[in-house]
Amino acid sequence: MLQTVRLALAVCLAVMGMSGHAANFDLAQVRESGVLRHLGVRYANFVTGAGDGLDVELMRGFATDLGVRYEFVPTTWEGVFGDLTGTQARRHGDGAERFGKAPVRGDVVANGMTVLAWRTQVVAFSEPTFPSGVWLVARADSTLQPIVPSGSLDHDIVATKGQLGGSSVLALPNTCLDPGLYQLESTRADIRLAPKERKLNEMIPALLNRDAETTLLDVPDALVALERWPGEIKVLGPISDHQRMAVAFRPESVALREAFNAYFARIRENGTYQQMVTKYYPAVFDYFPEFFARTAVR
Amino acid sequence: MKLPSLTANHRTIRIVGVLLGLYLAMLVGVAYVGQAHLRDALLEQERLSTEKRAAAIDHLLAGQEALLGGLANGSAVHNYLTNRAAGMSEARGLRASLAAVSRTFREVMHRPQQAQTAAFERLLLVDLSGRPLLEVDGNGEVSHDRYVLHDTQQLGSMAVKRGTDGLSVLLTAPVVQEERRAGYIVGAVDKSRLLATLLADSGHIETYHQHATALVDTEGGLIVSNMGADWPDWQARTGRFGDTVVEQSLAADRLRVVTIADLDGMQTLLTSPLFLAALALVSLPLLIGVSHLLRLSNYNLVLQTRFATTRQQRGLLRKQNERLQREIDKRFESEKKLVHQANYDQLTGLPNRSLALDRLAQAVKWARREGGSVQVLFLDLDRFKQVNDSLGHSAGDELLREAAQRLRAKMRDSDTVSRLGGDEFLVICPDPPGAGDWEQVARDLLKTLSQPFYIGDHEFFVGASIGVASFPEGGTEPQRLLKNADIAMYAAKEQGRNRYSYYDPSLDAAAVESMKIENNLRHALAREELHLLFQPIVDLSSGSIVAAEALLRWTNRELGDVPPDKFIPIAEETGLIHEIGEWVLTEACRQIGTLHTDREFRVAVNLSTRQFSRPGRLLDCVLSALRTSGLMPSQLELEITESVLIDDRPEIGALIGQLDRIGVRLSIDDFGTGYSALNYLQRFPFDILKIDRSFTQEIPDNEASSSLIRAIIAMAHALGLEVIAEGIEHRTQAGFLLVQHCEFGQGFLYSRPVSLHNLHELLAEEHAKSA
Repeated sequence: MLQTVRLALAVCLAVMGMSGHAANFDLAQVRESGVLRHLGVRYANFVTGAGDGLDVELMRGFATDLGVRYEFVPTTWEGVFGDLTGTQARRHGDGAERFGKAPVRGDVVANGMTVLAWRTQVVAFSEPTFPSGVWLVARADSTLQPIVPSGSLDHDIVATKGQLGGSSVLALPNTCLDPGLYQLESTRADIRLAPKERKLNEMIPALLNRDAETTLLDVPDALVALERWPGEIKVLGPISDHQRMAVAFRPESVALREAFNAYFARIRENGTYQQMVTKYYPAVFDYFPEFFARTAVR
Repeated sequence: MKLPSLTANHRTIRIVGVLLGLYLAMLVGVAYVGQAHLRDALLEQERLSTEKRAAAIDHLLAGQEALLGGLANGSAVHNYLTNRAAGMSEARGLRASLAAVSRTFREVMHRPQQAQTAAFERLLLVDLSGRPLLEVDGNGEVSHDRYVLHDTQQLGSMAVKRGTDGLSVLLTAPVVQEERRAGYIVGAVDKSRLLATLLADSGHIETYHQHATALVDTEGGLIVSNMGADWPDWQARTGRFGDTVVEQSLAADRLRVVTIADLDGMQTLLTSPLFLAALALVSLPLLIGVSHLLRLSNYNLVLQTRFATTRQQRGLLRKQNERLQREIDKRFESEKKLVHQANYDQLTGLPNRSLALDRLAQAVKWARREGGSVQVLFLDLDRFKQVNDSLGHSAGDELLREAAQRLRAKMRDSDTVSRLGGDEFLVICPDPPGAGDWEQVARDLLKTLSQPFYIGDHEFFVGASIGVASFPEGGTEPQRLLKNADIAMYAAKEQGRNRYSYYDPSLDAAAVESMKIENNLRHALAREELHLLFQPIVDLSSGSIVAAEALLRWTNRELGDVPPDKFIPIAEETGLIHEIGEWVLTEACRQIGTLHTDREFRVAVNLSTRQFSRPGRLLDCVLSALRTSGLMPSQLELEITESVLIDDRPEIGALIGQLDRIGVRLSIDDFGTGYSALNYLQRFPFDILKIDRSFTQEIPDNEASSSLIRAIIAMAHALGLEVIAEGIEHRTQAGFLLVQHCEFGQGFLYSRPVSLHNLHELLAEEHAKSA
């Protein structure tokens, strides 16, 4: 009996030790290992896939600030939480569902990840790094007309959703364009979920390919799309409330997250961050001037 | 004289004045013409410059229009207008498009300012109604408050509109979408760029501060000007003197470039009318100056003439002075030379006799005053004569010079070493260092002179004899001292030469005198101290002078007249008698030869016994004397004393025979005083017998003498000889002799020995009596 108890205790300690190892891979360990592993999904101008992007530069700067080497670890929207925390997760209703183990491959996720309620149950977000929201975008030749701004976001969201009746709309589950997040089912719209392999970047090409009449699109991606396909698409109106993007950490990596927050506050203050944003999203200042003011803090 | 050059100067000044005037007139004329040309050229330059500026503005505006067209066709503007036409709201999408347009506008405005880059201070995007959708300046979006653009139809491609900052040039480009106008892009051209373009090529003109240029609209409204706000003032002043307005329209007459140029002001100082006037005025004082110079030149001409004359006179005076000075110097030198010659011996450079005696006198005076002493050394070279005779006078002179140098070298500077004459030197030592030192001095002198002399290739040992006399022991008077030193010197010579002797009163004066005679006699011929007197020989019966006996006389400068009986023996003893005898024979013949009497006048010459020792020489001399004098041999009587015949030498006999054959008369002199050997009279062909004066003077009172004379005369007559009685002093003597038939007589009764001149007078007198 005593031997059984001892064995059980040893197994527990071993399990705790393993999980403790993953959970405790914080700032000290990053510094000790000499590398900051950046988990990123190719998306809009955050991670372009060409080796640059707003979040790539941000993380590269953070690694330099920590005095460690930067390493980009590509991942997917499906696997990103497992790669960070060792536990796979997805939206389930308003909450999160953990469904499997995965090896921890990185220390931080940064690729224009919108702060959503279910996600906060899985990871710990930094201070917001980018403003966002979700718009409804149509092809230019669509008969649907942009709503006339009323001055109230709530009214405008209702008016936009009102346009969707009978129209087809593209959406991407498990991302910020997940139709479940915005109660699109109630609009009687023909929601066409994109296949799993589709990426956020491919929503506009799909729209122009007439996969659907409209598509959901987050604001940063819409700004890029308006410049990339001028005269071919038009923004009909807002679908979501104001949203924010942030960098995701393991909930245990408190010191690492605080170190990032401090670093981020510094580069906002000295203008470095604004320079990075200007490089990848020059038009965003016209939309969110107050967010990018140096002294503005949410 | 400098007069020609002065006149030339005068003329030169006139010519220069005229040339200067002409030059200035020409300068003024040329400058005036040049100024007119310059003004035309400047005006043309202004026109060209203005045209060029207008073209530059035109070019700039055309470039900007093209740029604006590019913007109107750009994607940013089209995107915006499309999105706007699609109904997108500004809040969601349209603002991004507008921001892109804004960025595009700002990028265009921020490009480096080059020729074809944007030169806009504002860019506007307006809709078809003219409402500004976007207005940006270099810093970003600005409010739409500057321009009012109601009617886009009036905009055209270019318009001048008044904004809040005055008139501006606005360029417009329509944005066309699907063949319809969708809006306009309007650019307000940057005024600073307009001004820069206006002035771009006028850097050189900017240096003229009077230059003003501007870009104006058709109404003359100012757009830009280098005068800024002062432009209206300039426009108001365009009527003033010298201003010229040049205009050039552009942009289809909607704009004008206006330049107001002050051409007179633009001209440099050198070409200005004022300068011309000043130049003309400058010529006046110059001409006045030249005329003044001319007047001064006239005045100078007079002054310079005077000056030249004075200078010439001064030059002449200077030359005369120089000549005078040279003459004075020459005379001074000459006098100095004369003084030197008078006081110094030319041969040795030593003080001569005169200076030496003076020095001696001074030394004696000094010694007497100071109680000092003086040593006088009389020095005579011992064998000088041999050198002189054997090698000639030049060798003798060389010997004397060398001896003088040696003596001088041995004595102190305060001592006097002098040459008295011949080979005699006198050394005077005032205040000798100590008694007895004279011996040392004398020894030194002897020693130095006993050293051999080298003359030519010959070596001689000369030596000297020195006589010393001291003041006061040896004499208190200079002459006495000198004489005593001389005596002492002869004493030394007497003692055997090459030694010295101190004066002692006991010295044998006679011996000394004899030596002195000998010494002086050596130089008697050279010094021409000998002369002849003639004692007439009278025909006792007629009393007329028929012959004269030549008598030798010697007057020495030191010894005075020396009687023949004193010096003849010495001459014979020393052998000097040969030279003296020859001189007497020659001179007696010569002098008598000059008498030119009308009868055969004879001259009797005494021959010394010694002369017969060299019979050949004597015969030659007789022949020579006859030949040179022109006398007949019968006019010459040679008087021979008995002593000649005593030796009975055959060569003497032969000589006498030769003389007889020649025709020369021979007389036996001083007959009766010697041996009076009668056989001589027989053996030798004598013509005359001369009775010695010692017999004559005793007749007629002394019987013995009278008898002897009678016998002599008788004997002579018996032998065919004529008789001459010497020493007749009284008439009784003459009478006695005449009674005894003595033919001839001589003596004071008839005449003392006389000079040739007196003899001549006597003969003339006698001739006159007989006539």
